[in-house]
Amino acid sequence: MADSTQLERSGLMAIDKAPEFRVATTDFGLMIGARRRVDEAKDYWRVTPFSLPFYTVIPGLPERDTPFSGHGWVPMDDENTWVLTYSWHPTRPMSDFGEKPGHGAHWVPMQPGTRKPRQSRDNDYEIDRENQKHKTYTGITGVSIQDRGIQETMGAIYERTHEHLGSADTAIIMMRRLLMRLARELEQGVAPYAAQHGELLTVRSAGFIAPAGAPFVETSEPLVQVATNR
Amino acid sequence: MLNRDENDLLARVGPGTPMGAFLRHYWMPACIAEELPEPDGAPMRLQLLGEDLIAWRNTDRSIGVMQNACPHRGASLFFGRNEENGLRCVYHGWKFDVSGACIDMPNEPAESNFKHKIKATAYTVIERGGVVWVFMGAADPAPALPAFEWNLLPPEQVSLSMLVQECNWAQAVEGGIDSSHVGFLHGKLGSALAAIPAGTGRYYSQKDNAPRFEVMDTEYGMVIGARRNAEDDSYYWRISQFLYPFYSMIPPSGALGAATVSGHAWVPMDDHHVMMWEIEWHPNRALTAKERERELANKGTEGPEGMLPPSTRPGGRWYPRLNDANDYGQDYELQRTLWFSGVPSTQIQDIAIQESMGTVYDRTKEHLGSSDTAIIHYRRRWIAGAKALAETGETPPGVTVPDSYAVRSASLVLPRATSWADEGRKVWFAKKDTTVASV
Repeated sequence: MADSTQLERSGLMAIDKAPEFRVATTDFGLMIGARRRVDEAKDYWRVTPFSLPFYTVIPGLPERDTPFSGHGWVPMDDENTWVLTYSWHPTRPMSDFGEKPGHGAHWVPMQPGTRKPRQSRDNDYEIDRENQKHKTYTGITGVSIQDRGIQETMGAIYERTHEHLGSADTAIIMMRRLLMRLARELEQGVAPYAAQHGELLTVRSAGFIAPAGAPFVETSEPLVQVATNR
Repeated sequence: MLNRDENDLLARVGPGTPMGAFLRHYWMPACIAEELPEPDGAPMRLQLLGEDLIAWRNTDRSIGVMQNACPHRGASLFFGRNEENGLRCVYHGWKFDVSGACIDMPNEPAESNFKHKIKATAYTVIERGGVVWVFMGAADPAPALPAFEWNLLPPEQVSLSMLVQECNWAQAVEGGIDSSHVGFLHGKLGSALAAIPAGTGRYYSQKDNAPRFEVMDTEYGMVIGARRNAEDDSYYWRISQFLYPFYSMIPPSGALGAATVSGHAWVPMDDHHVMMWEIEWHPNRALTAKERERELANKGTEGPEGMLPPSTRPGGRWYPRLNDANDYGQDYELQRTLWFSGVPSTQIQDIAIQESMGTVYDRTKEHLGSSDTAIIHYRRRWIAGAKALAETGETPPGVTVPDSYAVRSASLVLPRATSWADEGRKVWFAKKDTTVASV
């Protein structure tokens, strides 16, 4: 599960802030791999499935039996998104994992009576500059709010005409191309395959150590598809 | 009266507009230096000429002003980390220096030279006289700063505060250069009137509510003489300047040498918001506590001159407490007994009436009189300047003569036959060790 403090303590995410990205198109959407070098002999892979139209599962730590979590970004309208967060363990009850199991998003303080987080654009997501200097990188408490905050600041509808994308943005570029291609194909009367095949969404993320230079798709696919009955 | 195209040309100041291009040839006073109090402190949102910017003070005390959108994927740099002489976006760690160059791009491989291809929009900044000046034009090098006396004095002789008006800059400027309204909008009634000593400037101002205006063109803009009757054989002249692109000087009131000089600037934030600067100074001595009362009020949240509690939006420290939502504190009883307008503060009276004209005032329906001479003059010259720049590339007036800005307003009582400009010239230059001409 994606508790950032846990990951930082583990040291694996911290070793290499510029992972190499590999992205493969699949029948469920995309498989996105980020490869970090542990040492000459080993790589640490984090593989995220992106399932059409808008779902991800977040990679966990290797050898750790913790719940999986992920998000679905469901458009409400052009300027508002319903962020669905799910956490699950394939074989164990969630109650095995403490008082607040699963992704931090389940526990974000809301404005009373709503599903809108208390930390919002109006209060600059409660940014604390002392915290920023000494504790969290952003000064904003909570992984989900860090994401939400930075994304909202891009504008109600982000204008992609002025950006400068780098190699780290490979997955984003591929996702845009995929969605636009499927939308155009639909205009020609071709329905998106994944929409008719819900069984494809039985995927998990994968976080694992592999020998340096292991091939991305061959190594990751069995782990991502482990729960599927194909 | 302007037609629709002229109205738009005068009012719209965003990127790509003719007036926006015109204004970008001049330095913009962006904020007071105390709003960026410490090195590596929190960045501050700024909005100038329709551009969303972020300002920060570096470790070495220099100030950066750049676009408030990371050139990577548009994230706001307000949340950025201000550290080690740069501003670092917290999305992917891209770091920028004051020139807008990307000096670190930690999420890309170390050997990548992608960061050398990134240049964010960033503007030259000079901090002088307690003001952070920003140059948003293309000229390289930027022109010299205008030689305003109030920007070249020790801080104890100068008072600076601001407030946001929620309307277009041009109607705020017009309010500032039109002194015909003073006796009405800012007028006091009854016992307040009777308390003004005869023979003083304020007395003449209250008595004669229909001044005549003469306007002279100058290198820096224009000088306006407002003539009122004084005694049978004299006139009371209030001489004020309006300087490119948006600075006024208000004629002093009070005994010779005692009076301070004051003025305003109207710095457009966008087409619907303008930052109005309140500037006051004494050339020869420190300001007194009484003279700083309004500045202190503007820096607090109490009273008719107080602000709303500070927020982090652009100009967020300077939104007045009395505003459209509470009818600017207008009170009918007050209107009967004390203030002609019923609005309990001179500052707020101007804002109230200017905002009431509409967010962007429509000049196609008005009926101007002889008292609007200065306003007509301003429009004509500023529109002509914007057009000349667009059509022939002509440098806007004032840019190349920064020393001409060393002037002060003046108030004089003169024999009726005496030329106000001839006498004005003896007193309106801001020369060291000269006194403010006031009555």
